[in-house]
Amino acid sequence: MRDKLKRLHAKNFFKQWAPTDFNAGNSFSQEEFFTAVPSGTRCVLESFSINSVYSGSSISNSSGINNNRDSTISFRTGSSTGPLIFEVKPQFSSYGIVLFGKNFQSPLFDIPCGGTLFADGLFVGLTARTSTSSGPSEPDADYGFNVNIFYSGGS
Amino acid sequence: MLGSDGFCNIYNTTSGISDNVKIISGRVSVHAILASTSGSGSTGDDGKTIALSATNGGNSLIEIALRYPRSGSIGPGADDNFCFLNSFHTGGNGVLFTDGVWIRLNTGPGPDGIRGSIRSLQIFYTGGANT
Repeated sequence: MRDKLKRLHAKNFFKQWAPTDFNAGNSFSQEEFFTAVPSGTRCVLESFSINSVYSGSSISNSSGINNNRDSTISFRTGSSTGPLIFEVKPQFSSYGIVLFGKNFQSPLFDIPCGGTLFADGLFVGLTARTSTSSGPSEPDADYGFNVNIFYSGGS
Repeated sequence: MLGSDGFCNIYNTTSGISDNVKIISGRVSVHAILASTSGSGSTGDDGKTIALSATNGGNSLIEIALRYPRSGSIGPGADDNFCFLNSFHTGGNGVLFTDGVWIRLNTGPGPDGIRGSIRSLQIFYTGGANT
């Protein structure tokens, strides 16, 4: 049973890249890694939420943003390049644009049972890609992700 | 452990999902499913459902119809109301699969059921192991 008195740690990871960042090295991809819990420490991820954030007014191929490229939020243990525990893909919602603002926060996903064990630290990776991998594909405005995680153990 | 006091294992994939394959072996309790989808760009877009069976080709113990954004190529349509992911919690102590979990991708319930694709899939379970 989940310990009702167990205290959760909360961390937020936010990163937005400038449009020109995406053309650096002609990669059209940007990555940022965060250490939630350092290697050598166990922790249990209990829940998380993610959302894409964009400073522009429209989300389309012409603005350099879409949902079809492999933007990801990854959860690893060991190191930022260690074993992948799982990986989710954030999406934009235009319904969010209309009613809640384009950066509407995703629902919190509560991992069932006692959460998922990360035996050797918890590392969160944010990977943003623009709408195409060739030609001009800079987004019209700053673009990135906002991630909240809630975990127990660790430090 | 199969009860609610064991940590969750995760079946995770972001590559193409095969049909009629065993993805988890052993005595398993499935507690939640998370899936991210992209649409084809057509109005009324729909896609394949995710069905989990206890035997190869057997009846579905769980089958969920996913919500697809209207378009994967130009961003979601105005009628899309999911910010990210489809999530499905079973509640209780999960659904028991006595000897492994098979996945099947059935055509979706809408008129455009063959469109759209599953971008990522996570299944949260206790007991057993990924195949």
